[in-house]
Formats: sequence, structure tokens, C-alpha cells
Amino acid sequence: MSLLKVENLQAKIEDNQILKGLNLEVNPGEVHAIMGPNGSGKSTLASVIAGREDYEINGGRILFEGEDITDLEVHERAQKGIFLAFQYPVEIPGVSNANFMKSSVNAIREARGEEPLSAKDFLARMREKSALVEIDKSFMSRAVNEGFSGGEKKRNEIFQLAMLEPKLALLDETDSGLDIDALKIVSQGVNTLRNENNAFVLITHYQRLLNYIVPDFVHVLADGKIVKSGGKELALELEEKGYDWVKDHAIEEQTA
Amino acid sequence: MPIQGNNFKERILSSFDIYENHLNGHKDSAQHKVRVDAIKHFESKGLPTLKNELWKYTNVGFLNGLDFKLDITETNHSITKEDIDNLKVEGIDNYVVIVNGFYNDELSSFDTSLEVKSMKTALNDNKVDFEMHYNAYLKNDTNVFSSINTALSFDGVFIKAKKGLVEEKPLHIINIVDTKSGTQFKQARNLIIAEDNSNFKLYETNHTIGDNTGISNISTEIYVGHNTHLEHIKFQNDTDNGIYFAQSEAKQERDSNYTSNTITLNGKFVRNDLGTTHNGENIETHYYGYYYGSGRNLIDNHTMVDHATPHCESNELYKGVLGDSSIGTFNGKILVRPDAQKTNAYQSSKNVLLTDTAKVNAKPELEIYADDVKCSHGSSTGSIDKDALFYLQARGIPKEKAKALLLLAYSQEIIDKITIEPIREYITQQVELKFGM
Repeated sequence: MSLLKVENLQAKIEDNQILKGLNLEVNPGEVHAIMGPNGSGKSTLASVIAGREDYEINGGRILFEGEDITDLEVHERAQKGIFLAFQYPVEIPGVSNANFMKSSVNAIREARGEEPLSAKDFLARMREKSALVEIDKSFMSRAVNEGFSGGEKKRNEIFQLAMLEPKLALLDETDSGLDIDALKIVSQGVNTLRNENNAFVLITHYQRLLNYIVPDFVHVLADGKIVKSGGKELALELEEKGYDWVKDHAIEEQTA
Repeated sequence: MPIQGNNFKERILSSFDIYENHLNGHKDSAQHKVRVDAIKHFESKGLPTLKNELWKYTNVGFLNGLDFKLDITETNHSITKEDIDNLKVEGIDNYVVIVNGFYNDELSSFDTSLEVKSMKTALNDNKVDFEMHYNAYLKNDTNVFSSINTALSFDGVFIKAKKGLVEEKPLHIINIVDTKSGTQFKQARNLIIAEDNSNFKLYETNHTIGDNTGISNISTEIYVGHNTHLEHIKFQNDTDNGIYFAQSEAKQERDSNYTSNTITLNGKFVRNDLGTTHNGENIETHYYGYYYGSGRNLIDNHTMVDHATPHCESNELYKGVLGDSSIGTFNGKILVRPDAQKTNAYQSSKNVLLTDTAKVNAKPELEIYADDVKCSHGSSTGSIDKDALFYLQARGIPKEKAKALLLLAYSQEIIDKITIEPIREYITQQVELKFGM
């Protein structure tokens, strides 16, 4: 059974139809990259899978481990093991990273019928996972993302990913705005976390990230649909030929 | 002796007549003249209407419809030590209890270097203090609730810190209205004197005990001497039977620091009037406030900082969260008089509306007559940050819990200003309870 199965997904925001019948299947152990020009619907796809209410799903469905999750709430999806690393992580004044993660870890454990993590175990896990993305200890008592640099925010996303150990991680342009050092740290974090039981969907505009996190599959999204899929070499081809190549290609296919 | 009829003004006036008839020849005293002036003022003004600029968002007409007992000399009540145990805060050992406007020695318990006694006692014992400070700061001419209090209050608590006194242990002022036997209108009058170089902390709460409506009208005058530090916390988390009017007026001398923190979590109706007048240089005034309205709560905070002297600073931050059909009002005024050069005055009012039916009225006012000053004010009203909510939910935190986390964080900025740890923790817990955490 596939981990994630997106079937003929159509989603709109207000009167703007963004996803126009998208299909995607992700199995445990796989890393998928979704590439595409600006406005093609990449981030929408990530948000819709995570359950953001701003979008209206007006066709198709999303299956997670065989279960239709199309109508589930955001937190219910997260509790089932879907993680969205945000393109723009939100600043939350007054809520410390430690408190945030404690609430998050325990909400997920509670949903699974597990006891809350003890303070000792929680701290140990915090320490272990923050080392993974080279986050300083003082960070724990700081408010979530408040005053963080772009790189720190993205590292924080990967830290949270490490803390929650989701089955499916959607990384929404995690590479954008990262310098090469931060990109390496983030990629290394992801590479350490990937295993045969989880899966990653990397949403990116550029091929650069894929030098560090090597995908099993690359999909090209254009005008709300996946217009081309292939192996990791497709990313290089795209880099060389540009997105117009696939757009033209898509039009050819449609008219053929 | 109960008075018939529900017209508030008539009832207050006839209550005063009855009181005066029982005086038997003490009508010439200076004290009595103060009362007569005050009742005359109320008689000429009556209850404020929405046309009154200071009451334009808050209708007190409901007072006319309430059939309350107005027996101003009645001191009987049913409050017990067990009641007080429920109102105490763990870690705060000093508390003074006022029941139905009267200082209650039996229910109070304190071991403090502060002078704490009933106003009635102080009137005889502290004649000089009374001459200097009693009715010297309260604004009877602009607030009829102060006039009513001045005319018809007979007790309350007197608190004094002698010169140079430093009292580390905070004093909890517990103000109770007992409504078990019927709807009540009760008044307390407090006088707080912080002589030069003193330093202490007050924590004030108000409670309605009983199933009927309790109207409290509390007037407090505060003298903040040279180089004095006074932290004054008010925590208002009454039942839905509580109607609360509070006026607090301070006079600050040079180099003094007065911090007021008013946190309101419940009450049918709450009106806080808070004022400070500067009388010297290098004075600091800090006003913090947090209010959370639910149900049909009405919470109104009016503040005024009178910068009458140069080189002083005031800093004000009020934050509100309004849910259900509650109404919140913030009207903060900063007055910078012509002499008050080099004033720094900052004011900020922020509100979050949780529903379409909740309402907020925010009215910052800046009146500046000096030219070399730094003043700013800002006011914002919004709803819960949707992006933040989505972010928390995307980490598995259920929506209601996520909202609570965000709202608690929002209030924390105000609560964290409290320097008394047990109180800070207690209030944080109470806010958490409010948000179902």
C-alpha cells in the first residue's frame, strides 16, 4: 500500500482554480521532488495535503496509508504522521520552542494513545535532535522563530521534523533563501532522517537542493498538474532546458 | 432601612438624607462638608449618559433597573474564614479583608511593617495623613462614582508605609460583596500612603459571594512619595454577578516609580478608572493591563497620566482578548502640560477579537502642550493570527489548544510584568483555566 496517494486532486482558492487534477503516489522509503515554475501550484499542493482550510478541494481525494484524509483537520493529519516544513515558518511571540515542541509531541502521542513524554526524555530528545541541525541550546527558551534569521527558521523546521519523526514530510521550498552552509546542514539533517519507513516530498524551484538530497523521483508541475515524471536526471535536464521546455511539452501532449 | 423605588439617583440621594438625619448635630464637621459637596455634585450631574465623553461606550443606565439594598451602615454579613481560604493565593501570607465596604479585622491576617487599619480607625488615629491626603486626589468633579463614594462610603482600608520602609512581602487586599441575602450596592474607600523612600507591593482582588448581583464602588487614593517604589496589581476574576466600579487616583512625587497592573478575566461589568498626576521630576509611571471578556462581560479601562512636571516618563500597555458577545473598552489619555518638557510618554493598546459578536472600543488620547517631548500612542485590533494557528495545528496541536496557546502567550507579556512570583504564577494558572488548558 502506498503511503500517500493523491488522486485527480483539484483545489481552488476563492475563484482561482490552482490544482487541476493532480495525481501522485509516494511509497515508504522514497524521496520525491516536485519542481515547477512559480505559480504552478507547488506550495498549494503541500498546503492542501497538510489540510490548510483556505483552499477548497473541489475534486479528487487524498489517501494516506489507504485512508481518505481529504476531510480531516490539519492537526489530525499531523497526528497521523504528515509533516509540512513551511516555506515561511511563522513567528509566534510568547511561545518558547521548548513549550511548542512539548505541546506538539504530546498532542501527537495523546492521539496515538501514548503517555506524554517525561520531562527527562523530552529534554534528552530535544538535545539529540537539535544537535542534528546544529541548533544552539539557548534556542529552546526563545520564542518560536521570533527574530530568527532565514537560515535559523529553516533549520528549526528540520529540527521539528526530527522531533516528530513523521511518516511523510513535505518540504516546501526549504532551500529558498538558504546560503550554502545552511543548505548543507538542512540537507544533512534530512539525509540522516530518511529511512525505509518514511518518505519525503521536496518542493523546490531549483535543482540545487537535489545535489544534496538525491531524489528517487522528480515530477514537474505546471498549471496545476504533473506534466512530467522521471528519475533524478530529469532535474538536471530541467535545469539545462528551463521550465518552458516542459510547458511546451505539456501543451504538445494536450494537443496531441 | 431599605429604600423603595429603582431610580438610582433618587435612591442615592434619599439614602444620603437618611444618613444625614441620623447625624444629630455633627453636620458642621469638615468631614461632613466633604460629603455634602460630593452629594451635591452627584445631584447636579446624575448618572453619566452616553453623551458624556468619558462614558460614551459604557452605558450605566442598568443601575436604574436594579433593586438593590442600600443600607449604608449595615455591617452584618455571612462571610467565613473558609470563604477567605478560597480567595487567598498560596505564598501570599498577608491579607486584609473588606466585606461590604467595611474593613474586617477578624477575617484579615497580616504580619507586616506596613501600617494597616480600617479607614474609620485611621480617621481618628491619622489626622495629619487625612488632612494631607484624604479626598485630595480623587476626581469627584469628573467622575460621579467618586462623588457617590465620597458622599456615602464609611470604611475601607488604610495602608501606610513610613519613610524609608521597605516591605518585601506583598499585601493582598480582598474586597468582598456578600450577596447571599439580596442584591447589594457597597462602597469602600481606601487610602494608601507611601512616604518618601518606601517600597512595597499591593495585590488587590474583588469578589462577589452569593447568588445575587453585587455592585461594588471602590475609590482608592494613593500617595507615592519621593523616591518611592509601589507596585499595585489588581486581579479581577469575579463571578457573573459582579458589577465593579473602581477609581484609583495617585499623586507621584519626584524620583518615584508607580507600576499598576490591572488584569481582568471575568465580571458582569467592570469599569476601572486609573489616574496619576506627576508632581516632581524623574517620575516613572507604568500602566499595564490585560482583559479577557467572555459571555456578555463588559470591561472598561479608562486611564489618565497627567504629566504636570518635566523629565518624567510614562509607559502604558493594555492588551485585550474579547470573545463571545463581550465588550472591551480602552480609553487612555496622556496629558502633557506646558511645563512638562522632556516628557517621554508611550501608550499602546492591542486587542484580539475572537468572534464577530465581540466588540472593542479603543480610544487613545494624547494631549500635548509642551514642545520638547517624546510621545507616541498606538492602537490595534485584530483576530487570532491564522498563519500561527495553522502552524501550530500542522504540528499536531488541536485547534482549540492551539488557540489557547496563542492567547496565553499574548497575555504573558502583561502577566510577566508582575514581579511577585506567586501572583504571577497564580494569574498565569487562572488564564490557562480560562482558556481550558
